[in-house]
Amino acid sequence: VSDSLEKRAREVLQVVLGLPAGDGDIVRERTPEWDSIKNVEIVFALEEQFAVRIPETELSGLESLGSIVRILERHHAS
Amino acid sequence: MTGVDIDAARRAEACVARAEQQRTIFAAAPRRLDLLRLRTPWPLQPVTVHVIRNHAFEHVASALAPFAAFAGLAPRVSYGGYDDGLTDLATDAEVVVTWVDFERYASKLDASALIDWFASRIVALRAASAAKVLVVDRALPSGENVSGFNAELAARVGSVPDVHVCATAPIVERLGAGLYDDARAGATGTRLGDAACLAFAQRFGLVWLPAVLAPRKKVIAVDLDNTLYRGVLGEDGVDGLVLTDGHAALQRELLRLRSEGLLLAVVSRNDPADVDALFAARRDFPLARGDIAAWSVGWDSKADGVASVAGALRVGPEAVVLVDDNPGELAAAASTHPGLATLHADPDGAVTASALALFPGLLRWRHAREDALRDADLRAAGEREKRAAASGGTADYVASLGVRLELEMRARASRHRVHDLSSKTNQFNLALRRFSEEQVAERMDSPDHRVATIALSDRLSDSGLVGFLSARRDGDALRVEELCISCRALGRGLEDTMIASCVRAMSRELATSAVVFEYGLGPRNGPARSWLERVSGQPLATGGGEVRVPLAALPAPLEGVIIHGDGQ
Repeated sequence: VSDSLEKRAREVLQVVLGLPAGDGDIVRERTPEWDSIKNVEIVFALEEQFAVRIPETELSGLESLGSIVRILERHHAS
Repeated sequence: MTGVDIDAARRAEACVARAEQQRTIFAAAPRRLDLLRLRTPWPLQPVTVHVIRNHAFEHVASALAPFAAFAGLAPRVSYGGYDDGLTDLATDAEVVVTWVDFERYASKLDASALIDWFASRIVALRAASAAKVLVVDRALPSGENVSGFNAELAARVGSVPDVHVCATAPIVERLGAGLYDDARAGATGTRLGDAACLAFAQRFGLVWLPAVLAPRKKVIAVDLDNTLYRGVLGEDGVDGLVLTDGHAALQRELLRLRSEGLLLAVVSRNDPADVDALFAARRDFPLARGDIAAWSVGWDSKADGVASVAGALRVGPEAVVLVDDNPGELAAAASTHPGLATLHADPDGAVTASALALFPGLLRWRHAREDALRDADLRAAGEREKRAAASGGTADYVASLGVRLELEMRARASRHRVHDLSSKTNQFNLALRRFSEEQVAERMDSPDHRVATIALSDRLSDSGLVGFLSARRDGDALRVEELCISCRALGRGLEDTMIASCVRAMSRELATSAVVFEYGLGPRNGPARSWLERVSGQPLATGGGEVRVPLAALPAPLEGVIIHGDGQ
């Protein structure tokens, strides 16, 4: 489940941030495109893609693909 | 859909690509990821948009590009700071959007005071910028009388030149309480949720920005089989065709657009007798034969059909939206006619209806009286042509029709119509200056300018305001800087009378003894240039220039024409 979820989350980040295809981790502090506006867009796109609501308290925790996958798993993303 | 020209093969390719995008672009609930994946294989017209706001527009702007691209636009968005006072109004952008959360003032101002204050900011904005202004009205799903607030807001700011009020009601009705996501406001900078941001992006990109930037469409030409109903007339017969709920919704949407001034046409590859029988028998269809202003039914190509109905309705093919279930026929028509807009009819008529409701170029900010008159006027054109053929000469023909011209100087209430004529008229448009509504208003208020409007009627129909001249005093001469006559008024032999009457009336008011006509060169303004060559007796330069004509050389009014308001 996690592999599939990671693949789909990676695609969300690549589409929203306009990143080329790749399989490494995507980390906010090393990705200039990932600014505060894009961060909101990523939240919207993740919620649309996985049919979840990410709690406001966890928005600041979206710092990398890995952290996003953990948040999605915690909220039983489909 | 904008004026960016491409060759025939690329037009066909763009038509097919647009058809493929339709389900994503016109979706009732657009999806952000689907939108971001779209690619645009056609050229776009860049446009600068500045947002004056007190809450975040960024999450609307981030989804705006694919919608605007469908309409042929590439907006570049800039922002003022978050400012409840709306103090920073200066910008050189082409379009200004006011993006105001009116609820932020609720504890400080009552509705009346808020509208007063906001209207004063719009007047100040008008003075500070030449941009077209889009005012987004108050979006509130429940509570106080928001429709009354918005009606008053529209009445107050909608009268300011080149200011247009964008009604949020369709978005609010669809999303209801889902409009807002207050829990997220701290992170997003706006109370609007993602669904609302996407819905606003859809309206801005498809409807509101094209309505101030792209040419307006005048005709919706629809196919019949598997477009207006389910089935094929030639195979299923009149009684075998199915009017699904979706197709009934589509027909009702076409009638709504007709009521807003759009002309409806049928372009169908069918036997004309079968089509006659269809409309005679199927009284369950919301759409009736009398609702259709032009027909092309036969075995010609759809490209020829579009040319035929456009010619009958006296518009260019670029003013037509062709709706058809066959992408190949759409692409062939698009490759033939630059600027033709196409909509692929979905098997579900309700989907096509929703797409038409958002289709670029169909919004009327105001329902001009002339829009409502156009249909009847075009029907009368056939009768006029018969009378002209039967009469012995133009004077007899004019007398038999009881032609009446109403001239008016400084008709401030008509400034939007004058702007409309200036921006949309192509054939009898002498200088092609394309005045904004604000430029029209400035000229109407200037003591050295005159803007004369021409309204035309006869026994058969009332054509409404069909032309205008804009001129100013220049020494001893009246300098005509623009002259436009709607194509609906052409072909009646009245151009000389209309123009000479206006010039004489203006010359009397401004005490001038000659007239200088400024002219330009456009792809289609040959009729206006030919008129000036004939009247002046001088050949025109290849591009733009001016011609001086003594007042005495202007043609006399046509005998039998009743002229009111010429100051005589």
